[in-house]
Amino acid sequence: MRAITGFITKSIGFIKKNKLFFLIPVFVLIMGDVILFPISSDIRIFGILLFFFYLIKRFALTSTVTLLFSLLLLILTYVMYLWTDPLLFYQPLVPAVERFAVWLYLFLVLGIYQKWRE
Amino acid sequence: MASYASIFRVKITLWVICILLFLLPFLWLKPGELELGGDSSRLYLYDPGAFLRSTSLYSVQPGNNGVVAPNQNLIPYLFVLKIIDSIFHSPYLLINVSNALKLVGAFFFVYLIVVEMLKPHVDKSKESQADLAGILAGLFYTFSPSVGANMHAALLTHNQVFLNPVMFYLIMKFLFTDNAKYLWLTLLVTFLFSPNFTLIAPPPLFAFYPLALCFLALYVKFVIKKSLPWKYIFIGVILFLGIHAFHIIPVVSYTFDKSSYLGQRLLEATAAKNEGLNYFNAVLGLGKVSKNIFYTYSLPEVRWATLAVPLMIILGYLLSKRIGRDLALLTSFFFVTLFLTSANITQLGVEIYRKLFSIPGFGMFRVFYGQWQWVYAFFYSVLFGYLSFVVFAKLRLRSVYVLSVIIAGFFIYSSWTFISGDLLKAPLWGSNNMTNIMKINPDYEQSLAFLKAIPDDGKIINFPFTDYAYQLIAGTNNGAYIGVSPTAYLTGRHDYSGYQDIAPFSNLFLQLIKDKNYGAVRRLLGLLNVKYIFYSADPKAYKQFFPAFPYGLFLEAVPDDKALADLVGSIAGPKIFEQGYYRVLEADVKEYLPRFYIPATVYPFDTQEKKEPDYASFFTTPLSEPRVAFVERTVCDSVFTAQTCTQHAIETTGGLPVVTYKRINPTKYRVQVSGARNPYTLVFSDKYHSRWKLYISKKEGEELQVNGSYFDGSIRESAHDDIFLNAKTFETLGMPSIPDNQHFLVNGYANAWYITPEDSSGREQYEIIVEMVEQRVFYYSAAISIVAICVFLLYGASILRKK
Repeated sequence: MRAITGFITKSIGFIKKNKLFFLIPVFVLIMGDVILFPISSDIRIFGILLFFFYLIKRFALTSTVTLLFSLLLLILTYVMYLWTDPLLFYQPLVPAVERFAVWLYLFLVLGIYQKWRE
Repeated sequence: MASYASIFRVKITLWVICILLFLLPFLWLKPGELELGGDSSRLYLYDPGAFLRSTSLYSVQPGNNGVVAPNQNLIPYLFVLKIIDSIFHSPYLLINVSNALKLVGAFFFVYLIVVEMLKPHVDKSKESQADLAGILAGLFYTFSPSVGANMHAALLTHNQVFLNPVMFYLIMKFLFTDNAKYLWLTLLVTFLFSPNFTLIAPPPLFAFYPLALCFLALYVKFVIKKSLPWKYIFIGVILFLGIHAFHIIPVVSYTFDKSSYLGQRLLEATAAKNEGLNYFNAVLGLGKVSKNIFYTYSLPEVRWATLAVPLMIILGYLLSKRIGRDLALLTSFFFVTLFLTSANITQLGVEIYRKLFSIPGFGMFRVFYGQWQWVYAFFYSVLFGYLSFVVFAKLRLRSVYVLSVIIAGFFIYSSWTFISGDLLKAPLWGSNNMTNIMKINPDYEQSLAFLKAIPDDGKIINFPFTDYAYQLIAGTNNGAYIGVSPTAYLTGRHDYSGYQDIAPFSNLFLQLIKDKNYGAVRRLLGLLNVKYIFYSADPKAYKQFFPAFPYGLFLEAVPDDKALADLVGSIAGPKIFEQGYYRVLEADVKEYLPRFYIPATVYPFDTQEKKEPDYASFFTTPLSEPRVAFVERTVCDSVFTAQTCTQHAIETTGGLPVVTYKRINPTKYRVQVSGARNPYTLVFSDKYHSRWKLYISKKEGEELQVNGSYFDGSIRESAHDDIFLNAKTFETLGMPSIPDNQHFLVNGYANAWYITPEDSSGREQYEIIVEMVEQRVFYYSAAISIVAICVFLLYGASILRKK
C-alpha cells in the first residue's frame, strides 16, 4: 500500500514538475480533430501546433513533455492500428489511425528539435 | 573478465545468426525446386551463360521483334554467376546462395554500421550493449518487408537489400578513415553488381545513394568535423565512370535518342507531369504513415508485435541526455525518408511532394510507397539500433539480454511468413493453388534444347498465349514459372508470348482467333516472321489451374484446353518435335516471310489520327503472292513519289532480285543480292529503329553457304553465326549508309529500305550489311572500361604494396 502511495506521490510530483497537465487541452484538441472531423485540415493541425508552441514558450515546457506526449500518441496510434480493419490500409480513405500517426510524426519532430536545442 | 566473456557471447551470437541466415533459404526450397518467376524473372540463375548471351552482349534484346535496349550492365554479374554455375551446375544452389547472400549481407552490414556509428559513445563496459543493439537493428532490417516481401518476384535490382548497407558501410569507412582500401572495395562492389548501378534501373539507385551520400558527407563535415578526402573522391568518381563506361555510355546514347522509350520518359516535358504526377495523385491514398511506423508484413495477426521498434525509439529519445549532431542527423534522415515513403503528412506536405514532380526524372518515384521503402527501412533500422543502445546503456546487461531476446522474438514472430518461406510458397495470384516454386520438367528442358538447336532464325509463337509479355511454364509439382519468355531469354530466339509482344496486332490477333479466321491468323504469323509454334499441352499451364491470370484476354478467345488444341491444329503445319506435353510445330510455310525479303507488291494504307489503322485489311484477303509489304501512305509519300503512292498497289518491276542472308549476331546481318536491275524494297522483319543502318559494300561479298530456301530459291537463308567480335566487326566504319529518307516502317513494325541502282553504283550483284549501330557505342565504351579496369587493378595492387 505504501509503495503504491509512494508511486502515486512520485507521479504527481513528476507531472507537476514537468507541467504535464498543460498537455490536457492539447490532447482534447487532437482527439476533437480526429473524432469530430472526418477530413484532416492543415488549419486545425497548424493551429493546434501553434497553440502548443505558445504553451512551450509561455510555460517553458521541456522536450521531455513533448516526447512523453509523443509516447502517448504512439500508444494511441498503436491501439487504433490494432483496431483498424486491415483492408482500409489499401484504400484511399484516411482511417483515424492515420490521423494519429501524423500527429505522432509532428510531435516527434517537435520534441526532438526541442531536445536538440536544449 | 566478465566483460570479455559477455563480448565473446555476443560475438558468438552474431556469427550463429549469420550462419542461420545463410542456411535459411535452403529450407525454403527442396533440392531440385526452383523459384524463378517475376517481372524481370531470375532465369539468369537457371542458365547464366544463356541469359548473358541473349540479353547483355548485344543492344538488340531477344523476345518479340527485337527491341533495342542497352542491357550491358548485366555482364559482370552474370559472368560471376556463370563461373559459379560452371563449377556447381546447380540452379538450385545459385538461387539459394543468391538469397543467402542477401540475408547475411543485409544483417551483417547493418550491424556493422550501427556499431561503427556508436563507437564514439561506447566504452569497453558497454561494448556488448552496442553489439546487441547492432544485432537487433540488423535483424529488424533483414526481416523487414523491404527485404522479404519482394523476394518471391525479385527484380534484378533486388540485390539492393544487401548492397545498400554494404555500400553505405564501405563509403562510411572510407570517409571516416581516408583509407583508399575501402574506396577500392566500394568500386569493386559496384562493378560486380553493375545492374544496381545502371541508369536504366533508376529508382533504387536514385532513392538510396543521393540520400546516403548526403548523410555521410554531412556526418563527416559536422559530426567528425574533418574535411572530405576530395582527392580520393575525385579518383573514385573517375574510376567509377571508367569501369562502368561499358553500360553508362550506351544508356546515355540510348536515352538521348528521342525514339527510345527511356528518352521519351525522361526527356519529354510532358512525361513528368502526365505520367509521374498523375500516377502519384492516383495512388496517393496508399501511402500510410501508420503502416510505415509499425513496419511489418501485411498480416493482421502479427500487427500486435510491431510496437517494439517505435517504442524503443521514443524511449531512446527520452532517455538520451542530449541529442548530439550524429543523432540529430540520423533522425532528420529518418523523418525525411518516412515522409517520402508515406507522402500523406499534412496537406502542405502533399503539395510539397507534388512540386517535387517538376524535377526532371522525379516521375520515377510515382509509386512512392514502393520506391522509397528500402532507404526508409535502412534509416529506420539504423536509428532503431542507435536508440536501442541508448536504452540498453541504462540497463544491466542481464536485462539487456532478456529485452533483446524479447524484441528479437517479436521480429521473428511478425516476419514468420517470410522466415518460414510461406511467402514464397503462397499461391500465385489468379491461380488454383499453383506456387512460384517449381520443379522444372525435363521434357521442357529438352524442348528448349531443341529450339536452341534450330538452325534458321524464324521466330516462334508460344501457346498458351498470355495477356502480357510473359510465358507460363508449369513444373512437375504444383508450381509454375510466370515471367519473361524462357524461349527467348534462354535460347536467344525472337518469339511472341503474349498480347503485349504482338503489337501492333494485339487486338486483331485475338479477334481473328475469336472469329476462327485461321487463314488470316496464318498470314499474320507469316508477316511477323513466325516459323515455329511452341505448344505446351500441359493442363497445369492453362485454364484449369490459371483461370484468371495471366490469360484473361486469351481465355475470352480460347476458353479451354480443347479450344487451344484446336487453334494450334488449325494454324500449324507438321510437328517437328514432341516430348511429353511439349510440341514444336512448323507454322504455315506458304505464308512465312523470312527475316529478309523483297516484296513483289507494296500496299499503301491510310491512317486516321488517334485511331488504330485497319490492320485487318492486311490479312483478311488471301493473296496469290505472299511477299507483300504494307506502308502507311504518308510514309510512302516521303519514300516514293506522291503519284506512286496514290495507287492501290506498288509493284516491283523487272523481276525480284535474289537475296541470301546470314546473321552475324543479333545486331548485324549480311545479305547477298543478285539480279538487282531495278529499284526494290528490302524488308527486314526486326522492330523498326532509326539506328538500324544499311550499307552496300564495295567489296566482293563472301560466298554464303545456303541452308534453307524460300519462294523457289529467290530468298535463301545461310548458316547463322553468333560472332561478338572479330576482324570484320568494324568493317562498316567510314562506309556511307543508305540515306535515312530511304529507311522506313513497313508492316506496322518492320524496317524497310528502298534501294535504287544508283545506291549500288549500277551493280546488279553486291553485298549488303544491315547493322544496329548502337552496338558500336557498346564496343567503344567497353574499350574504355577495359582500360579503366586495368588502371583499377593496378591501383588496387599499389594500395596492397603500400600496406
